[in-house]
Amino acid sequence: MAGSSRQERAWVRGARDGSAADLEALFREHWPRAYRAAYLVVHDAAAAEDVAQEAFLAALRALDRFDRRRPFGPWLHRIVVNRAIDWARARSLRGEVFAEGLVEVAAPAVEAPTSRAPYEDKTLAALGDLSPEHRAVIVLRYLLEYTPGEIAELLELPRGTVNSRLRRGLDQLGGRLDEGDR
Amino acid sequence: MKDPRRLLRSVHVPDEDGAAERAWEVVRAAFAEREPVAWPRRHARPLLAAAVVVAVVAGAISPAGRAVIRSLRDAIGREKVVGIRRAEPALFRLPAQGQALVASPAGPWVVQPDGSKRLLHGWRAAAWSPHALYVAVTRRHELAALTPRGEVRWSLARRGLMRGASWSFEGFRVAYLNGTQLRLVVGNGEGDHVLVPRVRPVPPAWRPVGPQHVLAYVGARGAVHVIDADTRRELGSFREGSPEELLWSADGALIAARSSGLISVYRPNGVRVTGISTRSFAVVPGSIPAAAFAPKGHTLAYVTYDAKANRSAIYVGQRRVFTGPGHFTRLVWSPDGRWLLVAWPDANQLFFVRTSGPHKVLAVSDVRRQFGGFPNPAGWCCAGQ
Repeated sequence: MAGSSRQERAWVRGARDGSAADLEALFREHWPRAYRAAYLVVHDAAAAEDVAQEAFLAALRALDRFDRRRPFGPWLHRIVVNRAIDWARARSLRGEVFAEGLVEVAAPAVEAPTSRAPYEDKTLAALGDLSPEHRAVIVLRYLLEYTPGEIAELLELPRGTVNSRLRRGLDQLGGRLDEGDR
Repeated sequence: MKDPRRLLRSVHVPDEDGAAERAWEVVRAAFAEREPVAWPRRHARPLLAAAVVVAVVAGAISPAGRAVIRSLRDAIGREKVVGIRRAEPALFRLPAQGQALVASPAGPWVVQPDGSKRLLHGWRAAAWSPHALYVAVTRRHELAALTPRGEVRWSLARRGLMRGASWSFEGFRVAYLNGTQLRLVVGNGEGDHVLVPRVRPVPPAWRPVGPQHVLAYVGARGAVHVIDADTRRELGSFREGSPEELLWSADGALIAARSSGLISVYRPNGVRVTGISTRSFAVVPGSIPAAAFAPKGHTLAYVTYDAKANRSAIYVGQRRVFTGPGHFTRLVWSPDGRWLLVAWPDANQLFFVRTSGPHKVLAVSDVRRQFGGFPNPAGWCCAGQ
């Protein structure tokens, strides 16, 4: 798992002491997975960018209070995933508020590349059918590679709940992907 | 099912590199603003405890207790807004063509692209005419049209307080508020008359394209009305929130009403298009203190303020382009739509943030001293004219 090395502790210490280079090293190390995790939960690139960026800013604000003996990754991922769940839950409200209009009011979206593996969209669509809470545990388990016990700790959930969400999430995901393959 | 690890890693995440660069710029800027803790936390914590005790006691025994709490919090390291560190000491140039108009307590200033500026002494609020040939200015009971050099072309006086002057799209009409009245005067200073006897104190806004002189205003009951100002025929109306500002898209197809925590976007005929609320951004308690439509298209830029975190953010459409501590109070677009000029009073700065392409921020510090009080942007007009 990223972020548990001695090097990382040195970056955290350096960033606390005001080193922008150390902060950048920490950012570059953790951004790709934080952004990907947020995207897989919220399914919206701009929102994922906001969520991951806000998580880094929150981590930055709390850097002075951070316990250097603990790895940085789980701390950041907890913020990312919880914010992503909040965002996804609030989407129904946003759907009502933004509706079609944001397409017009918003800045033009970045064009999606055309060369994708055929199963990528299916994976995304299948994930989209899960609740944000189920998506989050799947992402924590299979992208960020936390154990169910660590996920329970990160999300402050009983371990049994994490296990059942994982099981149900995987079943649904598998079912949807198999449907798509037929 | 395929290996879930492989599936999740293979999903294409849009604009991964661009997102990383934009986010890094924001994080780096926040890091640069961050005030290093002046002494170890182990000292700060007991001091905080002592401060809380002193403040509670002071609050209990004296009416000045609230002030004591505030000042002690400051003394033990509350986030201090220092603004953008690599700011210019003065406004040396505008990053795009056109002349900017800013309003400070000393009066409106016309700022040229090379940074030279002229104070329209003795006046208060100001607004550009469509091609920046004139500035409509007000002070207590007087409305006037000035050239950008400060020469008075015409003026008129009325009994009520003057404010909210606004030029029509081709400069042939000026709408303004006088006390509770919405009045209209022809662009040469003649034909002044009452258009609506009772309105809310929100500056009226002309549709920026013709051929009709279409005007939006907030009626006495808080509804937004869109009328043909020449025939007084109502074209549409809507009521949502408590509007503080009215904004038209450049093509006149959309009108937005900005309330404290909500921007409602409608068609001129009163059909709702969309809304943006602080709840959408999970900044509750919070507000949307400023917004502006881009000079082309329907892109809306707006500021959100998160009261809990004491942070503001600037969005261009859905994309956040800048965040910082404290309040951003006003923003205006450059005429070419590539920059936003933003007011940041807590940092005593004005700054320009690029709205497209690579992230870039240019800041000017110590602006209160240079403008005779804090300058709020009022307009930026017009490239190549």
